[in-house]
Amino acid sequence: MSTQTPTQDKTKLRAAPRMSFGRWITQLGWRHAITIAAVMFALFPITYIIGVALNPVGSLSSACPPSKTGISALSCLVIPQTVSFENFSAIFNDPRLPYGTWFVNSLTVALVAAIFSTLMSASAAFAFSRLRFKGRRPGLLSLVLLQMFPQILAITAIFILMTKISEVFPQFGSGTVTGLILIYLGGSLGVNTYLIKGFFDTVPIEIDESAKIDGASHVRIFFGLVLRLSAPVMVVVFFVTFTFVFNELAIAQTLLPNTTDTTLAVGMQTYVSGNLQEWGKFAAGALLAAIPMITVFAFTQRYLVTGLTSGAVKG
Amino acid sequence: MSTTNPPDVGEQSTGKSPLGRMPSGSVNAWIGKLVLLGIIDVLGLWAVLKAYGASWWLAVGFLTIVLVIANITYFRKGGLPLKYMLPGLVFLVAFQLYPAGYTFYASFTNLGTGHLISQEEARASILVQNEKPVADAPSFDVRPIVKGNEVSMLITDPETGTALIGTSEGTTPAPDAEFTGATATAVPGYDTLNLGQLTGDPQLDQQWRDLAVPWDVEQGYNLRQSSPTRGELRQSDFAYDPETDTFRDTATGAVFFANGSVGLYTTDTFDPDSTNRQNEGQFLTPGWPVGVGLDNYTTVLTDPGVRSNFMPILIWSFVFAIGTVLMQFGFGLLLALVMQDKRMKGQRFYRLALVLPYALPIFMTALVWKGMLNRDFGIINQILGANIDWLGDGTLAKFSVLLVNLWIGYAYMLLVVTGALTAIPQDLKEAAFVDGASAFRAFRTIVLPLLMVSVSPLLIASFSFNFNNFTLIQLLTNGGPFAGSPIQGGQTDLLITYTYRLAFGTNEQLLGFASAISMIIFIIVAGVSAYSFRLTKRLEEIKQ
Amino acid sequence: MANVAFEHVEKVYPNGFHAVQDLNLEIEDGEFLVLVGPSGCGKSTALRMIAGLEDVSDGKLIIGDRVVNDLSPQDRDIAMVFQSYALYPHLSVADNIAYGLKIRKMSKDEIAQRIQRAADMLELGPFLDRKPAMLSGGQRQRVAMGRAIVRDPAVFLMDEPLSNLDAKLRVQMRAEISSVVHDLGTTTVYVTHDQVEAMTMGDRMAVMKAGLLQQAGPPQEVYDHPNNIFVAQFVGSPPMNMVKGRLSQSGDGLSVHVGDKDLVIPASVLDERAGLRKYIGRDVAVGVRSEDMEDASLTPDASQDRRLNGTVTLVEALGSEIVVHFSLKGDAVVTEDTKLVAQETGDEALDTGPAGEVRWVASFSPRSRVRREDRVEITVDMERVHWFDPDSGEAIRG
Repeated sequence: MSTQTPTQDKTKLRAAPRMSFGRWITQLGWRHAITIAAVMFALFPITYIIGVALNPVGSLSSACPPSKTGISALSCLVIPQTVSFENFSAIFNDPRLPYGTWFVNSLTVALVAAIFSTLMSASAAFAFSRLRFKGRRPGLLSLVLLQMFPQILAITAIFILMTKISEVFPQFGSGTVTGLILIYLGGSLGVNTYLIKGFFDTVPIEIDESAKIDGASHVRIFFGLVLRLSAPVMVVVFFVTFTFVFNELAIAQTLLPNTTDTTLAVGMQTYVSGNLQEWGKFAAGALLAAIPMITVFAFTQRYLVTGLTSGAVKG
Repeated sequence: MSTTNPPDVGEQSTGKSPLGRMPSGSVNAWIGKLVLLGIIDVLGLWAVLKAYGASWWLAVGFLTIVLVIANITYFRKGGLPLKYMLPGLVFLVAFQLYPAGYTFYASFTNLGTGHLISQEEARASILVQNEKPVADAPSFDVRPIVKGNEVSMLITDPETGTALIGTSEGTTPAPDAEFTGATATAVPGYDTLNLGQLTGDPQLDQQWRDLAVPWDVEQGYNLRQSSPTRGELRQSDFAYDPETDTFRDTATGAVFFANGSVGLYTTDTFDPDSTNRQNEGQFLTPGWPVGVGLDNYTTVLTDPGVRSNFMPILIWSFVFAIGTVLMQFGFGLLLALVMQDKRMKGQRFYRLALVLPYALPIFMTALVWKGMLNRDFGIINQILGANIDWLGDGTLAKFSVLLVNLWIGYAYMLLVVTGALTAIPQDLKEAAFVDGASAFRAFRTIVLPLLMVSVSPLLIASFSFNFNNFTLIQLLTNGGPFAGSPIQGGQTDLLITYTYRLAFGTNEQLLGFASAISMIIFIIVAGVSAYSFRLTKRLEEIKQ
Repeated sequence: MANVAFEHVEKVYPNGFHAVQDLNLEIEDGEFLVLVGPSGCGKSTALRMIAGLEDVSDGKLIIGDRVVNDLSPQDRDIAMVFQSYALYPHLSVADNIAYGLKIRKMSKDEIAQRIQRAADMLELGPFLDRKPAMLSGGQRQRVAMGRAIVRDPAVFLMDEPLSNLDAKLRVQMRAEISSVVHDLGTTTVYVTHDQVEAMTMGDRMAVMKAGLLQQAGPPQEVYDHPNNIFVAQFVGSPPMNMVKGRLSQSGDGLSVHVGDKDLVIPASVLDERAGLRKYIGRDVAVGVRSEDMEDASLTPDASQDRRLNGTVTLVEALGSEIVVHFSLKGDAVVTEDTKLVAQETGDEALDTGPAGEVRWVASFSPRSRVRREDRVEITVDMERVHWFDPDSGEAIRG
């Protein structure tokens, strides 16, 4: 989001005379006030969870007795008395709740689903955007309609289908990460294809034609030109799919209900549900779980704004 | 495009489009393609054979068609569109279209607990479930033996002491069996399985448990294992007559016939309008799924009991989805406008901090908030020194859910609005100022309408997403607080969480009914989207 | 180097639109042919068929000595310059130019040499490392040209390559393209809707309308001897003035009654256009180019029987000439063609105005003193008047 502060404005600022405090308040001060309030709102849960993760005591209330309230409670809850990475090591040493397995599963599922879904959607979008064929318009219309039917609505059918698949192909059915990936691949195609097609349409067809005259094959035109020129939307689709899959709960907990081999979204809640109230472990796990998403976000945020708006408006 | 091209060229053109004649690449690419298709063919054939072995005809048909089409598509010269669409299409059909179609179908059936398996399977199940050990029957020494993948039973007849091989078809004598003491323990051509081998292979174990060897057909006796070395004679309470497709209770003589309207074997005194409890003894379980017409839909809309659960959930789903979109968009817009002044220092930090919630997994943030809002040890109550039941009181829970979702989603709107705002030409705003408009007026009459044009599709998408925001509700409140039983729905239940609970959440799975609600959700979301897209079109016309 | 020939070529789009009908046209080896016509006339479709971007529905398309109907674009040995230039935005100028050569696996040295040669020719040297987005419109145009030139193809195809440039650049690039292409001596097919480009750039021009070839020939010949009203009005600016006139016998010769005047047709014209005699007692369409008229006050010697009367509605002094718009008594010639041209050029002079009056445009010598709303007498160069059948629009000749 740093794109919003072009450098030439800084020089302008330096040249401008210092404004009086009163003017600063009316022109900029209130803006800072609102923004700072919003930042506190945004960061409060995050700093809190960091504090919990680093606090060695399993239960929070023991460190900060309920008698403490207000600021003192805030400081005692957010700032750990002693910093320890006990929680972090604990989550990797619990065979009943194998955090490491969840993490690897989530990352695998999200990466594989996002990569393949983006590629498959892009190639379908290429056909819709660039090629003429019978059934193109009805095909597009069905895609739009399918977008309105998220897989979660068909969860019953998916459950029955996957149960059947695991009887015949135990490698791909319920209870397997592979099966979960297959489901996600099917589910994200409709939305993604339409989004990408909208963006492809903005790449002039003359570029393809010119390349064709230059002797480029359709594979080369697709990968070398159209995909390349649509990088923003590809990145956005990758990010959106990755995020969706990484966060997905309903299908994951239906297909991978067993906490010994499931995804983060399903597994994490077991730390803090029922009698188990392991907030320290949960916090540690949650912080680590945030890393993949923040990483992907950091790499893609440059494209997010343009990709999100342009793709959607075209669609 | 050239101006001479008529606007709608080639909708119905086939593969002979000019792009269809692109060159097909080099030799290396050709070999690569061959190898890839070879792998797919081998895998596909393996899958077809496995599906065939399991008599799963739908899969056999689907996989065969896919294989044939794939080979034709990638080996012939033309047909470029399909070359690009086939991979996606296969997944779309298998895991999106088929489930969607099945949901539609299931919404017209009574699929669910007691109606999950086919009629044939139900028949077998009725017999097995009502089996009881035959009184005073001798105990049998048996051994699981296996040939190929078929598990059979090596039986030592307690009366004669001879060895028999038992299958589901019946028994055959095994004169060459080897005995250990008086017990037949092995037979040439078969492997005898021990306990470890059985537990190590779930499929063999299941076969062993399911194996019922007809022992005395007249009496309806079956010989079944009771442990890996012991067998017992069992007899069902019901006798099945394939000619009339009826069950007879061997004790009372009551006759149960296949009742196609409810998918159960019932007596003729069975009353389909009564509850199961009132019909106690009038039917056999399990049944099989049958079509019930529009029953599931009419139940949702007219049954007073169901409707009183359904309507509040429907209304709250709308309130939640619309409220979320408005709050997230409003807050995002406010922040975007506040930070629009380029003289403001620290923008880089502000934006980074403000966008952070968007980059965190929802399962993390929802649960963090759940902890923070906890009445007994939550940080919010502790700071306030209060004892407020944020998630336990209906109204407060609704408020909390909206607040948490605001926190989760405003950053997305901030990103989008910032992008859309920068895309609005500066001279438009300047023109408004030149025309004498106040800042607010310029915003309301120029900036906001233009902004809405570019963001409204996203708002609609956000509405559909939040209407089905299963993850947040499940993690934060699980639909609660609940006034009655969870099956009646909770105060923060969305239609989707309610549906999920109907399907999986309780002991009784109401899959057909849940599917009907899924279809209703689909119709609502599609309707709202279609309507809003029409509004958006009108907005776009304003722009021009 | 190669010739290009259309033999009974048809193009029907799948939706039934008949874009090109029975096109027969041969473009000589090394010739610069301009395909011109209003939008939708099929000129771009014809070009795209040569390129292989559109299928040929029927007939034969020949490049060199090969029928190329079923050949893919890359095998046709052509290069094309697009209206939008179609530069690859992610590649530098040099890479844009080299793209086609790299695909053809040309050696690096050869590629570098060719880029250098093209860059010299088009003065692109300083920009080779830039991305297209950093170039001006004219520079992008040059890159597109360069991309075509380095390929050293048998045929250049250009699809309205100048229409995205401003007026001044267009004039400059017009000359530049002409000279580059003539230097290279490569067969070129150039599509435009701008008749000025058609007149100035090509060795020959081919005028198309609604999928049909109207006339092909050297520009001056087409200008001087249009086959029909459409060509007459489409070629030339301002469009040829038209009015209905009735032919009658006068003595040995013929005269035509226009408005309230009788103009005598010179004997030399009658020799050339014997067909005119068949129209005695009937209406003909009389066409006069603006430069074939003069202010009668400046030509006192001109006889009365070649003068028209009009009322001046607008005067545009251009220095070298004075463009005078005037209204003339007479019936407008209205055919599908005149409507099409009026639509294309957006020229009000072709609007029919009040009934019984037509609006004409004449270019007078700068010495003329006419003013707005003057009654003016106009001398017509009767030798250069064009004659058409008012219904079919065909030129009346032998």
